[in-house]
Amino acid sequence: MELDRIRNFSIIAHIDHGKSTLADRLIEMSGALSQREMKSQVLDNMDLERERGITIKLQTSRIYYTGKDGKDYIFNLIDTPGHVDFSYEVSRSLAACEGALLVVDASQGVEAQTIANVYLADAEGLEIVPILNKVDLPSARTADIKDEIEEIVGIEAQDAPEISAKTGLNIDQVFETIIAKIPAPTGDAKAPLKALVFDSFYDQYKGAIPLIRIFDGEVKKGDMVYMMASGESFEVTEVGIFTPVMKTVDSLKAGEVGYLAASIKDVRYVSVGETITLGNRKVEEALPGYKEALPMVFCGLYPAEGEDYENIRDALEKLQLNDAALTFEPETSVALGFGYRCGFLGLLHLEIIQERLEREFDLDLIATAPSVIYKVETTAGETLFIQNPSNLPDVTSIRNFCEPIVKASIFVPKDYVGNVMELCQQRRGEFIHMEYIDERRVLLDYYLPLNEIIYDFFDALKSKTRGYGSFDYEFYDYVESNLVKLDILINKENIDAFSMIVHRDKATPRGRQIVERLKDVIPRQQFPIPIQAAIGNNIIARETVKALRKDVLAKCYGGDISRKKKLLEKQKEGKKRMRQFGSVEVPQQAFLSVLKFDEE
Amino acid sequence: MVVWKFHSRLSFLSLNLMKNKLAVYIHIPFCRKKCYYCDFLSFTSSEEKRREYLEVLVKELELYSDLLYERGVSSLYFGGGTPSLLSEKELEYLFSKVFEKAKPQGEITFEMNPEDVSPSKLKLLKNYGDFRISLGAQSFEEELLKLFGRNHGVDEIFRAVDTLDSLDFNNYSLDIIYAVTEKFNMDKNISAIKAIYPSHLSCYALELHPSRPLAKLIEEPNEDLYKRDWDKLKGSLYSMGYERYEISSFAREGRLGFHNLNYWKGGDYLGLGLGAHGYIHPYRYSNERNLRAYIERVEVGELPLATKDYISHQDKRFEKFMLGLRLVQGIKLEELYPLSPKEKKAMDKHLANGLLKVREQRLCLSEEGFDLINHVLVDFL
Repeated sequence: MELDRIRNFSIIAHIDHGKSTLADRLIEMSGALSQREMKSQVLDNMDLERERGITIKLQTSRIYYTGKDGKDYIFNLIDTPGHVDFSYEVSRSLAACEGALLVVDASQGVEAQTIANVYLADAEGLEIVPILNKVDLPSARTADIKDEIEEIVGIEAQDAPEISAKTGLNIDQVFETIIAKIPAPTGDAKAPLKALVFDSFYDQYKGAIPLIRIFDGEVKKGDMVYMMASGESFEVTEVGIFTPVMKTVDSLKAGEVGYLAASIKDVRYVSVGETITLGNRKVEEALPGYKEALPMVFCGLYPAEGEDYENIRDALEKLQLNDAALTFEPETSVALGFGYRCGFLGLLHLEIIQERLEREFDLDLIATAPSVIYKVETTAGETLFIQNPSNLPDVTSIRNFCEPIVKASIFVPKDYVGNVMELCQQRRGEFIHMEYIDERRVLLDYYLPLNEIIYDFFDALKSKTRGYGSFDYEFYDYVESNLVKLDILINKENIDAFSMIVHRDKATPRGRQIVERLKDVIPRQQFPIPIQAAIGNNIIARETVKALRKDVLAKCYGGDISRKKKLLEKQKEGKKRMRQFGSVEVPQQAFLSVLKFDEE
Repeated sequence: MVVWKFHSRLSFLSLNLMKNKLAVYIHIPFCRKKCYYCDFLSFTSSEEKRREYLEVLVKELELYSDLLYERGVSSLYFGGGTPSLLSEKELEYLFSKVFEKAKPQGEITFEMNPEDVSPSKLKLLKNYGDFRISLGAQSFEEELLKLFGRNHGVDEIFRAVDTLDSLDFNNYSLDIIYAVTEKFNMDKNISAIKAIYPSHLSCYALELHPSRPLAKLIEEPNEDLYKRDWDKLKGSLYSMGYERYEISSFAREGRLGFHNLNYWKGGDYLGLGLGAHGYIHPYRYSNERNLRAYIERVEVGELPLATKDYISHQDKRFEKFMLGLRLVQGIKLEELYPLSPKEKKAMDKHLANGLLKVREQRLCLSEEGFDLINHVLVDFL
């Protein structure tokens, strides 16, 4: 296929604006899959994604289309994730494209998240093609939204296709617009191989499989490929494309998108951002422009059963194959024993990884309170970066205690501005700027401490704006702050897994909230259990779990033993997820309950 | 005889023919009106329905003829529902058939509601043997009986007791429900028990089932209430000279409930009637709970089993703890050895914290341990 018949693009859209549905429709229209093979939303193929209605993992698909000009085209669609936590993954897929479809809901308009991704795409030099979706809905304000796109995003939108991905209305216009507007890839198939890894996944039989965009040259079975960053070489055993199911092809040439398999055992050799070239004909320079995935939120993950320690590592390694942003290293906790300190893009990312570990790998996990990275300058003149509160040096040796501050952009309908400002205030935000985008919507810029938003800021924002608020953030700076380490003591024993660093003004309410929650989730035992929150030796909150008094004795009527046994089995099931601290049993739920903070 | 034809289906029952005698439980699922707290299998009935049920029940009994003949019957228990609501004619029919096939060597218990205790019914019982009566008193608080939706008042309990005494029924047990609400303490129950001084008492905490009307009328009792009422009741019973021999049962002068004791000792028993449970080692089974299905299956000569579970060695071990520890005398240590690692761990833990103890080479719960039996048992599971 000639280069001018290829189009590589991704889709940028806010959650629920119809990205996956449009992707389905495009694939379906191209005839790549039969109706029977077509599951609804083929690209969101993880259960978890389906449940949450969001895309987490990238998927890619080749689409064949015969244009109105009578020529055959190949479209390579590279799907992008849609949550603020995953902006790094978006950047990876964008770098493999020449253009991006900006899908906007014709009733809802442009959202903050969308704009952030448009900026990313723009930075990669992509052509942005606006598409108005859901124009068939009675609430559609197609003309207004077109103006809004021009105004906010700053791109021409009057000719944008007006479609309904759900009903299939005007989908052909999308194809034609792609052909007309998105540039064909450039590249030289005769030049040395230069391919970009924009994602990878692990196949049980074929090993780690990188998804690649070929910029120059050609790769085929039998080639020796060389990974420029890791310095490893592999023999290619298979090259192929996604339709979206995997399909072997003879070779992949400049401009094309696909995968290669090379019995790559260790995923670290095909990390995202890697440039692949040929062993005997190397390119001079690796491809530029990839951002490192920087984890922002950290927590300890520990096995509920000690013997799972190794299994967690295996599982994390497997997940890491598909998820370059996940980091982990071994750590030990006095309370929890051996586990791993894991880094995540955000709390949603953390929850997803935890859920996948439990669901897909059948592991029972305990997660410690999440933390951001704090910067500490000691009296000895050292600079330390602290991601685990337990590693904090003694207060007397801290000269300077700094926390990460982010710059957040929040889009909100004007009726909710008051609510959002109140929320930002509660989260120690510093107001920067407010701007009316149009007569209905406001952009608020705030400096916010990262540790105030990692827990549940997104949820709180949604609930305070009836779901209309959206936000994005970027790291701003480390700023000195009045921070303290809050410890939780159960039965007088400091449980390091619960320790967290908080602002002094927040320590007492947060401490009280935690002990109250723990009081509710820790089952009563034979003796009363004091639960305390402390800063150093100073107790700032206390609750007591009362001692057990008397069990209800179910009547074993007429010799019905099974009923009683079932009740005990249920009780036992609850105890399974318990962790013993000294003489106190703490359910896993307790660790989760510490994560969630709401104002109510 | 019809039974032979189905002998192969009964083979699981025949494996243990040489073992001890069987206890037999017979379920009468009918009530005049369902009490507001009750979650057991019972419903109202017409005369027609009762006649049909009793006939089928007798047929079910006949399916077990061989087993009953070969093993013999130790104790017999008529429970419900409300077996005492059966008319004298219905009782005559039931007893004549049951005693023909399953005459027990030992205890015969008949559950009665106070309003059903009449001299003529008691005389009828006397014709068939030496009956022990389990009287559903439940409470001596007038207001509570109303709240429970019982068909009797406090006076009727006393009248029933007088009738029992006058006809020389001196082995009867009262059922008492405690821990209902803060408002009612145990005083009235205790003074009534003192006055009546029954040979046996079964005391149960109120179990509030969300689907039952009582759940809408009162709040869920809490542990403090259980503890308050229980300590009061238990203390009073001890001081009156009752012996606690099982977690919820008190007796004086050795008049224990032997039929129930067989459950706790892991003995075999046959359950007959709708939804009845039985245990013929190594199977626990339960009957159909749907009346139509029960009737239809028995009518074609089938055992009306709804569940039949093989009790593995491991299940049996747990049951041994679950049931045996209900007894004050506990379990003979020699029957427990060798312990599995889990059992050893659980035993050590609860011996150390004082919930379990060893007395006369037997493992048993301490007084505190009885209050927290679930807490202990879970660790053996």
